[in-house]
Amino acid sequence: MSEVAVISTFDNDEECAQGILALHDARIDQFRAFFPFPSERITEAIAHARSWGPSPVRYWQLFGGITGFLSAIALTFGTSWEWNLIAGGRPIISVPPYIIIMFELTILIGALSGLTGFFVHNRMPVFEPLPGYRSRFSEDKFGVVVQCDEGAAGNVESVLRNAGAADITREILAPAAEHH
Amino acid sequence: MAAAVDTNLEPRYIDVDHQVQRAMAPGSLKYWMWVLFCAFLTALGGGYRTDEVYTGLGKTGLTEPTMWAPYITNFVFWVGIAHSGTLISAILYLFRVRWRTAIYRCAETMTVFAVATAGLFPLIHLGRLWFFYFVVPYPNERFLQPDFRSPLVWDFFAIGTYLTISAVFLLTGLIPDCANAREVATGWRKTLYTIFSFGWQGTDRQWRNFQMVYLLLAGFATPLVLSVHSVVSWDFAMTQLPGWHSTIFAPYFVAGAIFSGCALVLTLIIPIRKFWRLDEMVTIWHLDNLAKIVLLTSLIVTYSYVVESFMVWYSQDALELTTFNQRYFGPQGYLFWMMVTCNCLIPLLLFSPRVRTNTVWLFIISIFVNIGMWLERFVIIAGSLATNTMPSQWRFYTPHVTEIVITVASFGWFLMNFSLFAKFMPIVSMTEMKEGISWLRQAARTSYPYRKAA
Amino acid sequence: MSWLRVETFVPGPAEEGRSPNLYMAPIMCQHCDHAPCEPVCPVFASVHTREGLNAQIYNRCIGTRFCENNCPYKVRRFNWFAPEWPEPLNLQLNPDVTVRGAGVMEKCTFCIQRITAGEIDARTEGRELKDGEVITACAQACPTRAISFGDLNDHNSQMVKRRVEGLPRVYTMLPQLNALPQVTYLRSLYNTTENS
Repeated sequence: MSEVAVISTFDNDEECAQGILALHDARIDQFRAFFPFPSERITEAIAHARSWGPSPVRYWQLFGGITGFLSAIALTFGTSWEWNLIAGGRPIISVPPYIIIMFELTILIGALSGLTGFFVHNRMPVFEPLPGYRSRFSEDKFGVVVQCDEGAAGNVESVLRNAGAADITREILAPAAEHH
Repeated sequence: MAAAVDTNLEPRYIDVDHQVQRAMAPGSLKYWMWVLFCAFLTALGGGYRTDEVYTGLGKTGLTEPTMWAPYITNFVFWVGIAHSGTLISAILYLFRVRWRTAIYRCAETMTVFAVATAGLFPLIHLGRLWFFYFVVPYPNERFLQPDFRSPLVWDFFAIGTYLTISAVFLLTGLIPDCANAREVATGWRKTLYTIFSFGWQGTDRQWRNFQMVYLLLAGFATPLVLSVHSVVSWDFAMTQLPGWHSTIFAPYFVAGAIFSGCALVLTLIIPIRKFWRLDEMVTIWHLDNLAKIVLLTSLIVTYSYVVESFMVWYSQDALELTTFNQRYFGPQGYLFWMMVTCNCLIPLLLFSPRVRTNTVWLFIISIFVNIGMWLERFVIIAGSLATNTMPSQWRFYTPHVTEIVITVASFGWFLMNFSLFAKFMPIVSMTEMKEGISWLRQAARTSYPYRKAA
Repeated sequence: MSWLRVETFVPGPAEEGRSPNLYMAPIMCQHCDHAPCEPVCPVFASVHTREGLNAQIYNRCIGTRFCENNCPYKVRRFNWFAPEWPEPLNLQLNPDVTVRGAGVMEKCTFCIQRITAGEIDARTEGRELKDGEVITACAQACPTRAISFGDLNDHNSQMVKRRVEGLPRVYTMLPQLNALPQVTYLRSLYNTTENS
């Protein structure tokens, strides 16, 4: 039995959310949803079906911010201490101006780390289209793609059709296709 | 403007795409003439700038004691403009304000190019431009680093951070839109959008991470709106010069920044929605709300002028009284009163709903606001320096050709970059417009309260 | 480039007939202890030496001109153009003083080249610098000895003695700004008459 991708197209986000919940009720978990904008209904349905918590990107941002803060302290305190030049009678390590540098580097390194985490967790840039991707999914249609054996495909198709899919097609996958 | 909305023809998702992609169609002759004109201004500025580097800053009208006048005025002006873009795209996102959706991409673009333009001016005003990197904490064998106590080093960090974060925020928000544009584009444009979409396909996992990073970036960009222009204002407030040494500068400058920035958003978006027929998405209601922010910040700026004057009067400090007396009634006092007219009096027209919903009036008022805000920075910078603590060293600044050309060229540079971006990238966020479409359908159904019965 | 300027003050109408026709004050870099020009320089081109001088490091200056903006006395000068000395004007240049290029700030250095030369001599001979050994060009040139230069820490120096003796007349410029300038001035005294 070869693996197939069952590609269903929905016209609006409510029906797509119904489809995802229907798949979850039928205990079909190997699916991927494509949608052109983050609709709240679909996001809720996905969260229910996948039971995953908030994205891990936030940890990247947190630790990046802390790194930025500490590196600013190291930079400002370290360089002032190394070259102890007197400027205007200020203390050699003058903390109030250095707070500004600490703040800016926290934001900078934090945001860049968050962005890096975003790319890492999404495995972007992506060079190959994912199995089941159709170009309308980036424009105005919503898609749910289920990867399964050929035998189980019929059951999947009926679940999706009952949920209100506008269009269902089947695509034979090359054996090397992997789940994202 | 579309006629009264027919509820049977509510916008569909694909309509949003079509309207925005229509704006990205190959440019007309008028468009390319405009871009070429801006490019010409930029090139002219580049030529004068090269001459200035070669000959020396004496080519400008700068002299002791007005060591900063034209270029730092431009710098603060462009940085100020940038802040309202981030206010609209980041702060209003956190507050879930509905009317932000249609205009935030335009505002964010304005921010990125305004900061890029602003960043040129600290380089332009340097006496020894080729040593600009002394301000950067780079590793060197002497381990010599810049003085972090100096407000100019804070500027470097603040502007550098702001440029990076704004660009990152803009490009991240563009990813789903470029994926959308990629699907309908052909040729070199398809390659362009493919690159900027990073292969985005809109899976549930990708959207989960995207929403998190977008929320966090908005959260991190929010304090930048308040802090970056405060840091720029401390270029002045951290000195002892009367007229600069004032604790009100940080909030005063930030309010002024939002003021001029929202005015420039109006100046940019009114022609765009007219020429590229985006008036169904960027409606009068959006312009009305922008005008309300302009009015509010105008009142704050007026209040700041009054408070500043009051503090000077109340202190009875001889140095401060002299400087402010010269600012209001001295030889360059006419600039101050022009500024008051443009910033305080003209925006009062925005109290009228008829003015706020009239695009011609809004365009004219927004131009006056920006003239007034440019004058404000000039009056503060060049005016205070001219009438400083040593009366024998009072000399008023008059511009020479070089800095006039470079100032105009900066507008040409900004408008050229903005126009090119607006043509080749979606200037309205298709993704977020579609997300808000169910709400938009409802808003289109209710009649806009200020419009006369059709 | 005038590192030292002589400011003239005309007495007001109330003092007419009872005071000199003109007051003069030579103003040069005041070498402030809390120099406002130092913390605003982004590249440490304006720093305070351990001996109490405000030093301008020409090689480091990138020409932001923030220091002159913050100077309350406006004593700093900027090289707006590259200086040129067509022959034979180049012969006037002092070989001990660096020639500054375009885009660099400069100001009175208390004749640091003379101070350094004196210190080198003293160190070579293994002794302390004597009072009067180093004299600035402006003090040397003044025909009425209006300017005294010396070591503030040497209480026996002629400069400090002059200050102590003239204590009721001592003032500094713009003291309310708390820049703690090291140049002190002595007020002019003149006889007042009961009836003008």
